[in-house]
Amino acid sequence: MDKRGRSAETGLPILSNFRAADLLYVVTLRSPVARGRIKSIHIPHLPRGYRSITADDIPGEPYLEVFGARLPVLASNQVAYQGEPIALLVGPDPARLREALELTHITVEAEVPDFNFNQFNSERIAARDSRQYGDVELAFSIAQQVVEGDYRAAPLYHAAQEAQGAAAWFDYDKLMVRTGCQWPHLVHRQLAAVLKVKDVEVVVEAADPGTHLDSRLWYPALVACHAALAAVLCGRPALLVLSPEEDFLYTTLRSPVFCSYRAALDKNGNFSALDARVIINTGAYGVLADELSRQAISAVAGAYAVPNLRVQTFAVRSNLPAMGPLAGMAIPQVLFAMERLANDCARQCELDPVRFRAANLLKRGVDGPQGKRKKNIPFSQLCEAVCQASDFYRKHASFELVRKRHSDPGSNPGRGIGLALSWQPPAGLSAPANVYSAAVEVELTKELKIIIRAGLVPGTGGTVAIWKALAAEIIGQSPDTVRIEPVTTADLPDSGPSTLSAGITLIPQLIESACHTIRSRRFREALPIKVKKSLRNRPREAVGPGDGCAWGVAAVELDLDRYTGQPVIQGIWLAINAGHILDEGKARRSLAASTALALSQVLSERIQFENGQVGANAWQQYRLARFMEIPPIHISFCGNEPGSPAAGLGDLPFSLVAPALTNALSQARDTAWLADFAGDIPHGGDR
Amino acid sequence: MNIQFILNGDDIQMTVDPADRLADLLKRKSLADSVHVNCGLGSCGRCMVICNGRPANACMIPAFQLRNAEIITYEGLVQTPEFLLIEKACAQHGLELCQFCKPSVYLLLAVLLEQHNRPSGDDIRQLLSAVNCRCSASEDIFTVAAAVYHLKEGRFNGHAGK
Repeated sequence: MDKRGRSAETGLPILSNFRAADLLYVVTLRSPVARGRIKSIHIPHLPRGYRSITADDIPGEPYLEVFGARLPVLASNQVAYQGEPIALLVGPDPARLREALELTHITVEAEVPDFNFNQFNSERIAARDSRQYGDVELAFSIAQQVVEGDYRAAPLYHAAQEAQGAAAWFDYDKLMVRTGCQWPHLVHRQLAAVLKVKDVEVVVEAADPGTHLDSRLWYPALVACHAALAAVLCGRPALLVLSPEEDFLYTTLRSPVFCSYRAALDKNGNFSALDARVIINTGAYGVLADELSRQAISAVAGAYAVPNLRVQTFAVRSNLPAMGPLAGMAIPQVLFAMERLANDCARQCELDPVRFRAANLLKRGVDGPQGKRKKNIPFSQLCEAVCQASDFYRKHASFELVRKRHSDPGSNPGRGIGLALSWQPPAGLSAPANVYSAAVEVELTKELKIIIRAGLVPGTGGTVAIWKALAAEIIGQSPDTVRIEPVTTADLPDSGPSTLSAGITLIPQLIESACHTIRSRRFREALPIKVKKSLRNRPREAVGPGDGCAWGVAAVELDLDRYTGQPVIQGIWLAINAGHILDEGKARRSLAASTALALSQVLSERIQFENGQVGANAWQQYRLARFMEIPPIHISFCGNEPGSPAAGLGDLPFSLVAPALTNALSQARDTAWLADFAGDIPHGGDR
Repeated sequence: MNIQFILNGDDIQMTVDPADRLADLLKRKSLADSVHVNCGLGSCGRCMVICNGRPANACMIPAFQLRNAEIITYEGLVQTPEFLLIEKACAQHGLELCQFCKPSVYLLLAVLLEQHNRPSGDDIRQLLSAVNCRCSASEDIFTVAAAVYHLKEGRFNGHAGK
């Protein structure tokens, strides 16, 4: 940390270290029921210097408009989930505020909530999408084999290092708001609308969001509005930091997804048709429904060629708190289902899972309904690297033999090895309503310093180091001369959300382009030279991965404990092809860290539900995997192409580890004598 | 109640509620910005301090236990030669911890240096499992832990910096 309390690497401050004279604290009064109509709010008499804030006090728009959804800043009439903010209490002593919170009474006329998302009526559909090509019914009628499967991905908590929150204060004529967010300009736009002020009167300053796993995409706009309302209405600085339990119970979890698949296979074991139905539970208000629905559809057939396809996706509202994407925009959940299906199909056809995948892969130049690919998927290269390192062929064959022979329990514990193939799409959101222009400004000053202005929150210090090295190399300066401006919305261009590895794909592309322009103008024009570059991302329509994706193959080997039936991971192997790797050491470390998180999600993170909603003790019972439980992770890079653009790879483990591990588990658990022992294995609810 | 303890070498006297936790005291009085109160259950390890020579979660230390205790936070560690060793080992192995995890991991590495003459792999794993680091891979941190120990050995043998 530097002297101003900012990270020396990223330049971002920590929100909870915010200090100000006359600071007021803000606590949130929440709905006690999941669905109902507010009848009355009884707030105890508050001492001097304290006040309450309700929806009636909002000077501007009482709603947030985020990602195609409209949700109240403070609920005034109807509540849509338990814990929905209804009012704010503001005062100088947090202990007294908590006492007042306990004495507050809200009367709500409860209605029957909808938690189930497998069955829903049309009123609950926030977004729907479908694709169909070929003759699916005919393909099924002549199919050699039909394989069916239902796959579920459970909700997960992001477990970022700091709970969500915001601070607001006045700096002369401007309202400053600090929050740990992924998209400061989105927060800025919402604040201006809610407070009914001009854009120039509000400045949003990004705080360090930590390892956010996309939980800070839009929710910070809500807490920023709460803190800003307190600051504006009281005329003093205000700080709102949710308690860890509030963060767990009421902010965004990963959207649960239910995928129902039916695959038709021909006599060679190739897909002849696929019929899929994907249902995404978006929680209350359907935030990101359109985006998640589109991303899910792009992943529904995995990386496989399917001549006849019918797919329907539904993003469904429920009375759970508004859900979020959690690393990967619903793609990991859908790829999980498709990779499980591929494994089930291979087993049904008695084919090796590698051979099955290779035979069904999308091919270069073949003009099919999934579009014409310019490049081959680097499956054989990646698979070879993983299979050799893990000894996959031998282990899989021998474990399969054990599974089929139903061996003697005294001699053979359940063992399995699983494989998965996945991709990460290029950065940028895909739904037309969410499309934006990313922009970066680079300046070469008279003092020969390089200043990079990007409104994108850099994920890590490593990202910042890559930006600096890139600019310095092109312009021919030392990296020490490069400065990254602190991320605020005051003068910086909107660079879009920091998601899907935008920090190492989109932004370096723009920095590179701007620096090349500066280099060409450097000795022809007087300094300073300032260049702004922007890039508009395009909505994506296609089913299947595009040519600019990063690719990965993973193998996971596990044993089942003889007595408890719990899986014990023996090893994880990953092979990655992500175009040009900007810094192999950093990429390797980033992948290893994400793999550990993904493993923790599958093995030990489970949210306990009671009567359809998150249980009262779920927070205390939510367990993250410890360092000791993480096995060695082997990572290899294949086909690092210096000429090609860098593709994002940080989210790849989230769509690789879960299916590979579950495929291994299905091999291990299928050993008949152990099937009963293995019963309730805590693997994040993914099946 | 009145308590007196040593924080990073400074005598601290304060009036506290016996039910207060050290983490709250440090935050409320702005005594240590490096202590992050996250889970409040003693499981995330981001409020790590060294209490009487042992690593402890500040959110689990009640105020009454602080009487005459010696507390070292990351701010105190920064002033020690061990900090330089750890920084050097991290730089050598390219380990970049985020600002939330860094203080806790550094304190644990300092304890490792202090408590173990020859830490085994299991010692390192067990001790470092006290912090739930979300930003870096465990193997990288274990590598740095081993490197820190070797740097320390080198220093005692007069090879530091070579």
